[in-house]
Amino acid sequence: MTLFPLFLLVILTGIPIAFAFGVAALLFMTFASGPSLKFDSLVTVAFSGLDSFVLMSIPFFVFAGDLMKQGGIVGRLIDFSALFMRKGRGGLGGIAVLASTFFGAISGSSAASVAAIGSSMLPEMERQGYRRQDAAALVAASGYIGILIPPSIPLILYGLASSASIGDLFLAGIIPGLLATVMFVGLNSWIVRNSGDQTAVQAATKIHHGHLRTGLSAIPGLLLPIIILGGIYSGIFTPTEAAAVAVAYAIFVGLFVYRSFTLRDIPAIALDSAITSACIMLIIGFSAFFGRVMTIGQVPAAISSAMLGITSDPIGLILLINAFLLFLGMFVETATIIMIATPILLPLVKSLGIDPVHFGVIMVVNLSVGLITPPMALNLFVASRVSGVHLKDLMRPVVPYVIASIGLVLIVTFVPQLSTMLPSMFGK
Amino acid sequence: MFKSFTHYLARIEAFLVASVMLTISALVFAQVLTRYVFQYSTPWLEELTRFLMIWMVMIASAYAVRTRQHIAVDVLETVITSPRWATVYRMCLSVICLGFCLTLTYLSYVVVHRTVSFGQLSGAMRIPMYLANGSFLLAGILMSIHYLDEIVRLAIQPKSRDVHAKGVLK
Repeated sequence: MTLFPLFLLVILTGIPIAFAFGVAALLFMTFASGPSLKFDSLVTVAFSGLDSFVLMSIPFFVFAGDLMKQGGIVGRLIDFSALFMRKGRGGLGGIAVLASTFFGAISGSSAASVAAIGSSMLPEMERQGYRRQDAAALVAASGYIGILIPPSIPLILYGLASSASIGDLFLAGIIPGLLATVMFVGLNSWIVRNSGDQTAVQAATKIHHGHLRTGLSAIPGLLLPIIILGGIYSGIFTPTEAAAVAVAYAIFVGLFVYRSFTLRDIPAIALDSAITSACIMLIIGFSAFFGRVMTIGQVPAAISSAMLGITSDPIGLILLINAFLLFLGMFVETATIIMIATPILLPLVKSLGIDPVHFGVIMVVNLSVGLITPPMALNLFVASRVSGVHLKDLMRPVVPYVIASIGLVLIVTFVPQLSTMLPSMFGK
Repeated sequence: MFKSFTHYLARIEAFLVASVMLTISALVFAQVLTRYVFQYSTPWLEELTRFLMIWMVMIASAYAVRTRQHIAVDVLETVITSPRWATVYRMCLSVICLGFCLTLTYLSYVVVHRTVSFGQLSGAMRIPMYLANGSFLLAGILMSIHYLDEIVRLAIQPKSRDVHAKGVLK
């Protein structure tokens, strides 16, 4: 049981999380007598953790998303979103939420979404009367819609850790993601209406006039998710192949349709995407080793029985699991939690009769809340960086979104149909 | 001397990483085409792309040490305001990381040495396994070099701004 606190302690020193997994597990093996594992399994287990064709979808999806962003998709998506938001109060905020949703269908990471939508929308929102910190909080919260809408790196990671179908997980995330979109659009207009600042209300209702032509030019980009999901579901390709096709399509659109980059720009984009994904994948590799040490030390069993010791009531237990995930999400980064919490919780959850695909969505929604709750709140960090608002000034404006997100967690948890409907409709 | 050496080292790493990224994208895309257009399946190709991906991840990890892009919890870094203590703190981190990377290098050496002496071959391509797990050995060495370089630079010019910059190749 000391392995877990040890890991948190090592992480807090500030060394790269990937190394922290290795350091904590090696220290544990040195000083605890329990696990009988050779030290060089650090290398062999991490190697087999990385040696996966499914895992390769991560660099490809990151690359496809980066290519689309360089291809100028963000501005087009914003104009496209404006076509739906002509009427109603707080239109710009609604546009930001909608654009985040569309961007989520192209990119699989929430931080990328906050950076992309934030840097294009925040100046305009401020010009039209939004307080800067309100706008930044809105964009930070909307960013996590991107990891519910497929493609989604956290859902791929969960699929790897749980061996649930990634195609099913992708479909399962769609309705909860759209639900978050509707909630945030509503919440934004409610906040704008109640802000009491009349200039803000009037200015914000004067909507950014979407340009029809640039708006419609977003459509080639928006075909990307259709190719991905359609291809996976018709059985034409695996998720990894779908991701590689997405890269090829994004290069094609960028070079010939949008003409916003040339062949010479591609290697630099490839480098950026490779580094972004390698940093996640190194964590995955070493977390596999940590997981091995954890299993040998019987940590998952200990945590399960500790939870069962608190309550054996199914509803109480699922609430407890949610609370545990929310708590972890506040302190630890998303990929890390998925890799260590899935093997711990999945057996327990299955015994409660919860579908593994449904649980994947529950987990990702919980961890999404963690993205906007400090101290470890990646989306707030990115929003703070692109808006120039100090992190502590984002705390108050983000509260309504956190409350709404916790509501979303409960809805997704107790209405399994939201997650299981699409996967069962499209058959297995 | 050492500084410019690591600078060029990082540029070589960047070149390799970008090339491998483009290569595996092309290979997997080609795999889809060959399977559905030409009805021709290539099992060794999948293994090749997996091994290339591991090489890419490991070399990119070394590059990310240099550009300080690894994901880490930086609570302590934001709490420490004194530039002097910030440097001391960074120094301690680099020493811990160097220790880990040297351990990784040693353990990788043990594993690579074993696969060489057993003549272990890969499943599909039947190539020696050290061609794949050698990536961990190389990454261990490269990351150790970058951390050593960071320690040296922090010691020589503790207040220089480029020592503290993130995400850029210095």
